Amino acid sequence: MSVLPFKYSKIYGLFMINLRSTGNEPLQCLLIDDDVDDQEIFFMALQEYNASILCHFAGDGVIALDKFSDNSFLPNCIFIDINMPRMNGVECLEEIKKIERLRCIPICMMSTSVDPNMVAQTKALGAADFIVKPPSISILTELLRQFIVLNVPLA
Amino acid sequence: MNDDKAVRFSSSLVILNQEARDLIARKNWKDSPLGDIKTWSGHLNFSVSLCLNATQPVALWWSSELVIFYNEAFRDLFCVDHPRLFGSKGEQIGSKFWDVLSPSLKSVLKNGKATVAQQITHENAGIPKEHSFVFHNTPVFEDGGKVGGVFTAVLENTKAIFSQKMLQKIEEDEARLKILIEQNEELKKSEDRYVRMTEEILDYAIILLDKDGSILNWNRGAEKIKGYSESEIIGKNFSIFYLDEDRQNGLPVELISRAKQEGRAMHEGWRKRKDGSKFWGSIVITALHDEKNNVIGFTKVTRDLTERKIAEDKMRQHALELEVKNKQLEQFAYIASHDLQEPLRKIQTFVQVLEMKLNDPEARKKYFERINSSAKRMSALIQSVLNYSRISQHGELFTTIDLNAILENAISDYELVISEKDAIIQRDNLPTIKGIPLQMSQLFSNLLSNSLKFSKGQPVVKISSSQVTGKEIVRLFPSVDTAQPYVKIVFADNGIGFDQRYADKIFTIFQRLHSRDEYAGTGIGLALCKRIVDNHFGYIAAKGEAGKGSTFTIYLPLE
Repeated sequence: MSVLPFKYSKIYGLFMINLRSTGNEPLQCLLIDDDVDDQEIFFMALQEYNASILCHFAGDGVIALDKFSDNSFLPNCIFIDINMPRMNGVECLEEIKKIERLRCIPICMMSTSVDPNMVAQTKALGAADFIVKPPSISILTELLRQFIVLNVPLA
Repeated sequence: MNDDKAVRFSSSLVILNQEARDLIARKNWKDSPLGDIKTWSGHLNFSVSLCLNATQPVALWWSSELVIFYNEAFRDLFCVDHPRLFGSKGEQIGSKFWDVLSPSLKSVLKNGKATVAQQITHENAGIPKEHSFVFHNTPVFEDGGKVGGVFTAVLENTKAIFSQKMLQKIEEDEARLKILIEQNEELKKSEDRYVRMTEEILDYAIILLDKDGSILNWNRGAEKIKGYSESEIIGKNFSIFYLDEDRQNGLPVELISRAKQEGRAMHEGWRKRKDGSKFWGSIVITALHDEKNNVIGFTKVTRDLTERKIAEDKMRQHALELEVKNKQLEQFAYIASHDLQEPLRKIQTFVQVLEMKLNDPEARKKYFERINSSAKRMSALIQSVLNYSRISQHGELFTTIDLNAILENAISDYELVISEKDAIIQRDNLPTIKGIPLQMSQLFSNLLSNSLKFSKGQPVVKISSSQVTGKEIVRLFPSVDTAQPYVKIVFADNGIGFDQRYADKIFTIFQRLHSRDEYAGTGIGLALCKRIVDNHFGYIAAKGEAGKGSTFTIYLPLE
């Protein structure tokens, strides 16, 4: 493996990674996380699983909702970190679920630690799963793979 | 007696009365047991004369066949079958009268001794039903000592019997009356006891209400609990004890109607005494019914449970506080472990990545830097958590603190940053308060560093001070002691500010409004400020406008 072929910007914009184009519409996902390190770790793990997946990033819930104000933006799955400034992951989940056209998109919550109440709360609010951020990229790759296989209808 | 018309049947049979004379004359005596009248003995003639001439009721029974002679008075009394029976055999009377009388008559005939027979009732028109007669039967002896017949004199003893009966009745009535009096006294005694018991009970207000809820009686307990004397409360409606809002909501009416329908209504709530003070009353209203099951009123028993209520409320409050504290602690532990785990997890991950890229110098540099910064961050976090948990320790001594000295110390701590950023610090003269010096230093230091950190361009920090009363800030902080004077200290800056909607979140531990790569920090600083102000029984508030600046206001109690 070589150094990752992208640079991080303070403006959490859109990174289009399409190294292994399949010819079909590529799968798109959105990660909402304020932590730049975690964005990078997430990206590395996703690449390990499937390099053709398009990955969008939003620095927090407010930025994510701003992105969704564009009606054409429709990722296949969304990952939301719990602990974020301004709007936390739970509030962000609630806001996204209020948007009719996004209601069917599978959402996976992510956090460093796990609180059973939080898992129950987010599932009740419509989250499909909850991933505890592991201390290893390979484990995260496996967790992401499982989530996508189980929840995202492949195009 | 010396009647001219008297007929002399023989020398000894002399009858004065015409009718009786005719009776004797017409009767065919030859076929009777007595035989021809001319053959009658002197004793018989004498006796018949005596009988028929008497004015009081008398009768004569002659021979073993008891042939009857009676006079007018006797006939009138006993309604005999006249004139058939006159001179016929006694047995021909054939009535109850005969049944009662004949044994007595026969006894006289046999023994020659006078007897007394009583016939209590006698039915005859014009004679009262309840009559009593005594028959005194006396033997009439013939020559030679043989009993020839029986002379019966009738005495009425109705009055005697009646008065005896009356007496008996009076005696019975008296006895009954006595029992009644005794029972009444017993009842009165028990009622007295009951009334006294009710009156003397101090712990319960026991009240009798009419069917509309008006007060009919009042005991000492009611006076003690509700404060009204008996004279001022009788006749008033019981809703007088209820709070205005309960009255407006119809609670008293509702309780009465529930008692009417269900027989009983129970309620607990605040009630009002005469002096307007409140007590926590536990009440039971019970409907009273007449024999037709109509509700005629209610009893109302009230207990003053204020002390219990206060104790319960206090306990509930303590439990609630404990629960809140536990929750805070749990949250603190969760968030602390979360925030501590995060840099650790990154170190692990980056070490793993680095292992695979050890030959790439660029990657090596990058990931070692990342690992290093995560470790530093972890160290800072541990220090902050330690600071924060230390603040919560109680038992620290409050001493007199000159806040001017505290502020000066804080300014000198940040001298380097102030000169680097060319910051302007404007300050008022600050008062002296009672507080924990170390915590006050930390508070001022944190607020000052916050203003310097979230700055843009040249920082201008204004620290002003004024005095307010609790009354003036009670709208901001409902739990404030309105009588307490406070010093209001304002830290205002011209920095990046924040959106006012995050003003409440800003003091939450580990809550950040900016991502870490914009502004470094642990998310503990302002939570620590809040904790210090709480420890000093003060209040803290934040006001911000994005891009314009932030204002932190603290209120600390003055002596």
